[in-house]
Amino acid sequence: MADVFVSDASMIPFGKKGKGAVELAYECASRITVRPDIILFASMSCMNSDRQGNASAAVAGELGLSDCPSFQVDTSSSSGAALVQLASFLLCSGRYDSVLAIASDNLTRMRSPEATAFFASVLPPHERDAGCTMPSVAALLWSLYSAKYGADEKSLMSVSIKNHKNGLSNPYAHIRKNVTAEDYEKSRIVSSPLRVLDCAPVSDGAAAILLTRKGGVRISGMGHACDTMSAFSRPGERAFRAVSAAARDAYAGASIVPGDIDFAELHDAFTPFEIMETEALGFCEEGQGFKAAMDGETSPEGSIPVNLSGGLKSRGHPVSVSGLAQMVEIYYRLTGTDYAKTEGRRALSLSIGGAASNNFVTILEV
Amino acid sequence: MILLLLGRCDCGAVSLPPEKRCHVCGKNTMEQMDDGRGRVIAVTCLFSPQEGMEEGIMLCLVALDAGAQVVCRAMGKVARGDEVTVRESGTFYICDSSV
Repeated sequence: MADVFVSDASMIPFGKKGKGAVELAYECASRITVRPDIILFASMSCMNSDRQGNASAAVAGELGLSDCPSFQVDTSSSSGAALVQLASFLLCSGRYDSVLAIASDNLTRMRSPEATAFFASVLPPHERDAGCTMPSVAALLWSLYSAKYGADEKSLMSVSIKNHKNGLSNPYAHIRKNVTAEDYEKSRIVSSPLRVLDCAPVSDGAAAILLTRKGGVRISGMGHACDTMSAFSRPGERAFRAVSAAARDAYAGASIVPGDIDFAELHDAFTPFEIMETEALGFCEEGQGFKAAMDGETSPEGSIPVNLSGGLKSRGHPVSVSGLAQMVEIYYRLTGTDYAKTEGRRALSLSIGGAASNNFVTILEV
Repeated sequence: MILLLLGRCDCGAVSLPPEKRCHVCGKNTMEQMDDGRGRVIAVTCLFSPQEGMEEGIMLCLVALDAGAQVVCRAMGKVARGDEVTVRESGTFYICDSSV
């Protein structure tokens, strides 16, 4: 595949913004001044928060680009990452020289039970009608994992504490707060044994990336792999097998092995996910992810730093935005622009849609 | 007692709810009745429910003897390892320990 680059990136601080998804998209993407040939847009909430259909045209119009072709893309919570992969294919087609990928969500206008039902909409009907929520899917998967490998919730706590610590220095993070073991143990149970401090906060936010064939941070590997809507239709405890499949394609494309990744942004919507993902990506052996988390292997000083930005846990989780935000963070860190510079030349982003049913792995290099 | 309608494929895959096309091989599946017996392999108690639902719903993952796994709402107390019976309740599945 021809070379594709992230040539510019923008993000707004996540949190409770009091603005609709279209306005947030404008606020973020208007900082990118190059006129794109085409716009790709993602927002799970724009029909709820803005009652705005045809939203990609609405965003283009706000940006003064009404005559610019646009699409809206939806793979649920991995939509932001989907934009980057689709943009790469569009650029490789030779028809377009620049693609502006924008994702925005306003989720905090919903009350908590309403938001919980909104997120559960990505599950199959028989699960959500039984009462299943995304945290309860994560809790059931964790229950299978912990029984098989003898893991306990101390490993979940270590992920939560690490990511909140990492997020302290991130000006874009929704929850910039140091979390102690006591805070964790006192936090409310959401779906046993998972606590509030195991779950990413519901946030508003936006991110934008300009992709071209000219220069910047190169996209060296991509993988996209899907699986059953229900995480429990999969054999045994292999809920994240499609994450492994996406990773295999991405590593092959970049001609690397997992050990060549300098740092990674993973989809820690729930702390067990980060542990299971480190295994599915090959950063550690099956059944060893919880030990790697507790031993500090995924800390900034560890062998494979995970979620230096604070991850979804600290930065927040405007669902459609998170995959794109991961790549903005990686762009900032690899180029030393904006708030952070990280030693290293190669980083990985993993974004999962639904219960790991629509997954994207993207490798970026300088 | 016949309680459950499953999907069964020639390839050996079992589905619940019954699938029109098999999630393993993509072929058409056959519907088959089952007694719904299985074992609880994971449990969670939900304190942040969806809009319109109650706090404290017990959800469990049941591995059916017939071969499929399914998330059920538990009727009464269940624990990991319990033998249960799964049946349909409208648009979802419930289970209890009345084997």
